[in-house]
Amino acid sequence: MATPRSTASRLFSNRAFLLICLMATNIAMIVLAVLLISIFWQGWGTLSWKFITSFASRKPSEAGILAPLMGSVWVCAICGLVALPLGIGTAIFLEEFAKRSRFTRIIQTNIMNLAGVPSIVYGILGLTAFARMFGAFGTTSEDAMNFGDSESLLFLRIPFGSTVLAGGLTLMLVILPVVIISTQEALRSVPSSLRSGAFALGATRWQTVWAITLPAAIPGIMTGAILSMSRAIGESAPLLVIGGLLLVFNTPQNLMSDFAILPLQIYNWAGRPQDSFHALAASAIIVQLAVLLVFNGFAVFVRQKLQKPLQ
Amino acid sequence: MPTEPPKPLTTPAHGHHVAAQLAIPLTASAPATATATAIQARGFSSWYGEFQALKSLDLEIPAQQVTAFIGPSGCGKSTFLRWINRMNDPIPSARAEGTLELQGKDLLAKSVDVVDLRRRVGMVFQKPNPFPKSIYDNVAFGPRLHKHYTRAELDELVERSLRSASIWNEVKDRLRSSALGLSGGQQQRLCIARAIAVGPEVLLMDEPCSALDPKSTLAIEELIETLADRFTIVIVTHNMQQAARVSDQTAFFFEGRLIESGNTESIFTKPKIKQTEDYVTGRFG
Amino acid sequence: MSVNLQSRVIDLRRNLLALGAVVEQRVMNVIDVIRDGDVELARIVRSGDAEIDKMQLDLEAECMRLLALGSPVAGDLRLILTAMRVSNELERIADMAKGISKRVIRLVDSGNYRYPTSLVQMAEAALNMLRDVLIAFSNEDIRLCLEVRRADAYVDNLNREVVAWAREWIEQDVEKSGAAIELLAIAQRVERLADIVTAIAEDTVFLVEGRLVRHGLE
Repeated sequence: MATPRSTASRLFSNRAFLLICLMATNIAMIVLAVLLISIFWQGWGTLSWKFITSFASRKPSEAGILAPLMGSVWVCAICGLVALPLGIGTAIFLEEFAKRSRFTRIIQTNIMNLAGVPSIVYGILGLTAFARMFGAFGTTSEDAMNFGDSESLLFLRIPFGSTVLAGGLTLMLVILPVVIISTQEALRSVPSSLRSGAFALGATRWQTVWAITLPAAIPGIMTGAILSMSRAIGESAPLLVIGGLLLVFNTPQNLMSDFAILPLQIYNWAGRPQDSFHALAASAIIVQLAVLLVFNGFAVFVRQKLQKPLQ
Repeated sequence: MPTEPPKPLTTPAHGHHVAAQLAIPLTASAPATATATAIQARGFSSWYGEFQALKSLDLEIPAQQVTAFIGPSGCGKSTFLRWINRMNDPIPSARAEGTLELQGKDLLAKSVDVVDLRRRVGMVFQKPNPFPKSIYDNVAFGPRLHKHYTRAELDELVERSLRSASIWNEVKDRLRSSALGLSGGQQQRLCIARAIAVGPEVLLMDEPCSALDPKSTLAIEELIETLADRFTIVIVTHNMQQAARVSDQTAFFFEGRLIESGNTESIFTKPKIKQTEDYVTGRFG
Repeated sequence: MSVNLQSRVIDLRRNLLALGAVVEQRVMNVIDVIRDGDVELARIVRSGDAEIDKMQLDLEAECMRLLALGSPVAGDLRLILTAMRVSNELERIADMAKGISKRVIRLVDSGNYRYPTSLVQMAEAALNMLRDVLIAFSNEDIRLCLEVRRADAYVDNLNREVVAWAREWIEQDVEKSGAAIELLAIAQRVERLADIVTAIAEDTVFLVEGRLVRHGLE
């Protein structure tokens, strides 16, 4: 015999659940607010144009983050320029062109596993594969092959060594799985009725992807790109392994320059005993947040543009 | 029903032709020339993996007429429709045997250019699926796939297609606006315009009105009647009255078999097979 | 067609046959009226016509309703169309019976009631035709329908005998020419009755086979 459930208890459960959700949200917001406020409190004072445009120094009053800032920008730019086309292309191939087989299923599983690998592992891989190139080209800088003038923009050295190129490529390894997976999700979310419609008109697979599926998936793909790049900006462990030197007194001039990055600089300053360096660390954090905002803002702008708003 | 106009009872010498002219034929006259066959199936069977969806069909679909496929759900009519433009190809477990020909050319051969086939055989789907682009770009999409057009040629083609689909007047002032802003019935007519734009010989329609309100349904049925002069139309429908209203020939499918096919009029006044009679009168399905 | 409407179509068929049974009874009565000059019975037949009219109108209204609401096709459609026609025809047969009864009453009242046996034979033949056509309708028997159609010729022959007899009567006794003409009117109605039964047979062929056999078509 079915017994009725009391309306009062059901309403109570409803309200209780709502309350729990609100509390969770508020806790998250509060934590975020506390973090931001404490950072700004600590770092606003030392934030100045001089700070952004100076190089590191033993004296806190003269220290600046120009080198790590530009280093981060260069490394992340290289990472993005390689990871995004590569990842999006792979996802398009896997999702739209490859026939479903055991082979593709294995690839899919592996990509998903790679997304969860700790980034330090990628650091070691990058060191071996990009920086040292498995020792195939010698182990010292004298044995390296140089192409072009080391002072100009176009300069290439093999093996890459501890350079922005190696750092960028290593970061690429970190975020590539995420880009692939999120792009695949975005492509899957495009209704198959659109593809059917295109096929029925006589479109080839490529024409369908280029003209219909990709444009429709752009929002999702860009969101994935934003998330990946946000992660890349904050990654420190793999670049530490590569050799993100901390005492660098110039901004990168070409792909083969040495580099420092913001996260590592923040770590370095935060670890010093003097309070003044802590303040500098906080200022650096503000700058990093600003860089993140600019990156994301740009990506959102690109997403808006590519969505082609129709009146 | 008399198939010729009734002859006048008296034939006065001078008034003979006048009287004959006054007679109005009561029923639509059948086309005077023998109808060519557009699509032919002989012993055509198809499977999805182990499941046999179509069992040895023998069917001729005449050109420039409307043929309706009717039958209960899962009887294979949509499956058969989708074989005509090879839309089952992306399904890995789908395979077919037997003969299926369009204008005498085998459709199942490996050498068939599927892309060109789909230009010649257009399809309209159950749920309107306009691309998230402008109305103009929706109609122009198909033609642009196959040929290069000048701006003027494309403008003219788009207008012609939208006129043929009886939707030009409603959209001519907003060709650049999003197709998604149209109502359901308008979207479906846009999809028809889109399909016509590539210049097919055959139009396949898979329950084109089932997602629409009665007024839009009526508009599309009227549209089908006007299009029947230029295209061979095959329409799958669950709605028996629609099949009766719109088609010249009807084919009744049941559990993968073709039970009966023929003139729509005879299928709905005196079907030859009891199963057909039971289905059209609603005693099952 | 929904199950509800399907059962209404079945009821329609049954009601039509019921109407046929009532009309058949009337025609049987009319034979007795003719043979015995039974004025009492004739009066009953005359007044009973209203009941038949009502049955026919109800049937026709039900046919309209089913056409409008049910979108019938194929067998259902043919049945409903046939029911409309046949109910109309049955009502006209009853009208003939009423007309015959009225004239017999007039003739008997005027004391001039005489008739040839061929008239009774005509009426009996027409009754048999009606019986057969109702059975043919019920059993969807085409062969029987075609036989009924052929039987009409027999009735026409008997009609000619009645006409000859009437002419003789007038020649013998000119005073009775009025009565003879009334008698001819009775025979004419019987002949028309048989014609209507033939029409019912043709309608039944349409019901079963979906083709029209009117106006002499086979």
